[in-house]
This record gives sequence, structure tokens and C-alpha cells, in this order.
Amino acid sequence: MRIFIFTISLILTFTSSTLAQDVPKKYPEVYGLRIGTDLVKASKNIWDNNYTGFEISADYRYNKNYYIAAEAGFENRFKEDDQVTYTTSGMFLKIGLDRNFHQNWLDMNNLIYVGARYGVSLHSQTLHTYRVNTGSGYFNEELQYPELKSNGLSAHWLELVFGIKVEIVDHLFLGMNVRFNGLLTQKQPEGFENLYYPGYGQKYSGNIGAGFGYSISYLIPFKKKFTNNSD
Amino acid sequence: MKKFWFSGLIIIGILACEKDDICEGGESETPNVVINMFDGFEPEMLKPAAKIALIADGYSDTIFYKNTSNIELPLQINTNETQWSLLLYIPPTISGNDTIIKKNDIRFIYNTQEFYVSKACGYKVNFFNFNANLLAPESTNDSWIQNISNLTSEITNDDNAHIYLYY
Repeated sequence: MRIFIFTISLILTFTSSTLAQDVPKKYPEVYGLRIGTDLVKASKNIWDNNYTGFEISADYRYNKNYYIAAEAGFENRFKEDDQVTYTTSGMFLKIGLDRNFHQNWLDMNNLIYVGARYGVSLHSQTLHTYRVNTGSGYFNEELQYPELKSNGLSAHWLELVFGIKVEIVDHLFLGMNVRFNGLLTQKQPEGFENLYYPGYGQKYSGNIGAGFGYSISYLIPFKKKFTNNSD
Repeated sequence: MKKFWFSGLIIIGILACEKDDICEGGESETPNVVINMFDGFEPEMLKPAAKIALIADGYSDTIFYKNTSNIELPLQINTNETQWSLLLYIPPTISGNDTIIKKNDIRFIYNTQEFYVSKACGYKVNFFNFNANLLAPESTNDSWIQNISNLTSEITNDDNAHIYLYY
């Protein structure tokens, strides 16, 4: 039912904003700490044998529209590509801000937000096998088994987040987000390269990556503010 | 403002496209030894062979070249030495009788150095301290190569010849 109202309110805010201004707003706005987890990473533990990982997310409402947000977690991922097989293992931390652009109706507490994060990963990468590109393949000895582990790797990146969070029952939120990452700096393994970063995801040819997530989170309310905001 | 976000999204989407999953070959491949074959009596003249067979020592696969003065030999990447047998087929039009096969062995000694190229291409090996030796033939009747000369001690690509062979 709340989702239904939320959807309707969405449509209305986009179609007519004059209508909303006529309604007197004397409902409280809830301030507190929201703690959650990413459902994509959590479920991947079950359906992907080559993956273990977890992410805890938290955001704290700073004022009417801004939330201080952070994510932290670990990932361990084995990947078999055409030329290389490798395992990336490590932890990550992302800190930043979310700005809510959604004008809530009544006592609803939903978010349509745009956020920014600074992300850091500390990880290791183990090169299990690689293939030497010989062209001819005459000697049939292209596949090598080095089992080479590179420790102390890291990456720094900026993240742009677009998402929604909907309160499905009291204080419990379901969320959806899309992320775009821009890599700033990294420490590469010797004789190989970082192909995956915990918290960032797969590395493609450029310094830009993308991802998405579904989240579930719980809001611990600290205080309620009554504001008469007619903007 | 909405237009700004939207165009930003599209630009990021285009930049994020995967373009590195195809290996283009060429410079990213481990180079072969390139041999140009010249006339032993007129060393300025490239001399094509009607048919040449190449077999590495300890292996049975044969690489054939026909009507060319330019042949390429791969090197083993897990050892520092590869020996190739070069078999020249002399057709009846020249020998006047049956096809005659003559054989010489060349031993290549080198050090290897591996490079990571990319996710799509994998690794590449370059060879340095490279040296080629024409081994003394078992009998001079079977021999066809008069001489070889090394042009380089490093093999990093197969754009140009590394060895001149005279016969």
C-alpha cells in the first residue's frame, strides 16, 4: 500500500507540483541512522560458487535533504577468463553524501537520491593461470601455472550513485541503485593488472566502471522534526 | 538540470562500454624467428624455395612453406633452447630425377622475458641474448645450407628478418 501511495505521489510531483503546495504539511520528518546490506552481494554467495562477499551500508540524516552515507565490506572472487584465471580478495570502504530529491507526502519517508562517494579498496590478487599468446601454438605450452599472489594492492575511486529507497513497513526500506565509478589511482600487481576491485567491481579498459545494487535497510530513529516547509 | 544528468548518464554509458575483449594480434603475439633466404652464390638475391619442411627437435608436427624466401620458426618459451630441422625439397625439374630432400639443423639459444599484454591477449614472450648456430651436418651430401648470419640478439617482433640464410 505504501509503495502504491509512493508511486502515485511520484507521478503527482512530476505532473503537478502546485497541488502539493496547497496541502498543509505538519507531519514529522524522521532523523536517524539507517543500517542495511546489499542484496546482490549477499545473494551472490548462494548462486555463485566463485564468490563470497558482504556489504554493510549506513546513512545518517544530516539535514532536510542531505544524508551522510557509507558502505564497507569484503569480497573474494575467482574469475576464469580466456587468457587468465585469478582471484581477487580484499575489503573496501566508501564514504560520501546522498541528496534526496523526493518531496514526501504525509508521513512518508522515501528517497529518490543522487549521491557521491569516495571509495578505497585494499586487496590481493592471485594469478592462477595465464596463457602466452604464441600465435602458432606449435609447442602447445602456452598455459602457465604461476599461482602468483600479489599482496598490498589498492585502488581509489569516485562514485556517482542514483537510487531510490522505499519504506515498505515501518522503518524497513527496500532500495535500488545504479553506480558509476571513476578510478583515480591504484596499485597494480607486478607483471599483471588489477582486473577487479572489491567494492568497485570489474575493471574495463577505461578508468570507468558501472554497477547496480538492491538494498534492504533498517532505520533507527533518533528524533522527529516538525517542519512547516512550503518551500 | 534534468537534461544535464541525462546527457551525463549517456556519456558515462558510452565510455563504460567494453572494448578490450578482442585481442588484435600483431605486436601482442610472441614473435617467431624470421629467416630470409638468399642465394649462396649471389648473396644480394632473395632465393625462394619450392618447398621447405620444418620440424622441431623432439616434436613431430611439420610446418610447410612453399615458393617463398621468407620462413618463420616459433621458439619454445619454457626452455632456453630450441632446435629446428630445416628440410629442403628439390623438385625433379631441378634435380632431373626424383624429388631430393636435404636437411640441416639450426640450434637457437636465448633467454626469455614475459610481459603481460592485456586481459584479452594474455601474455607475450620476448627473446634476448639470442643466438643461432648452424649445426654441422651428418654428411655433406645431405646438407643444403651454406651459411647463416645473425642480424640481432633480441627478438621482440616479427616485422623484419632476424636471420639471413644462404644456400
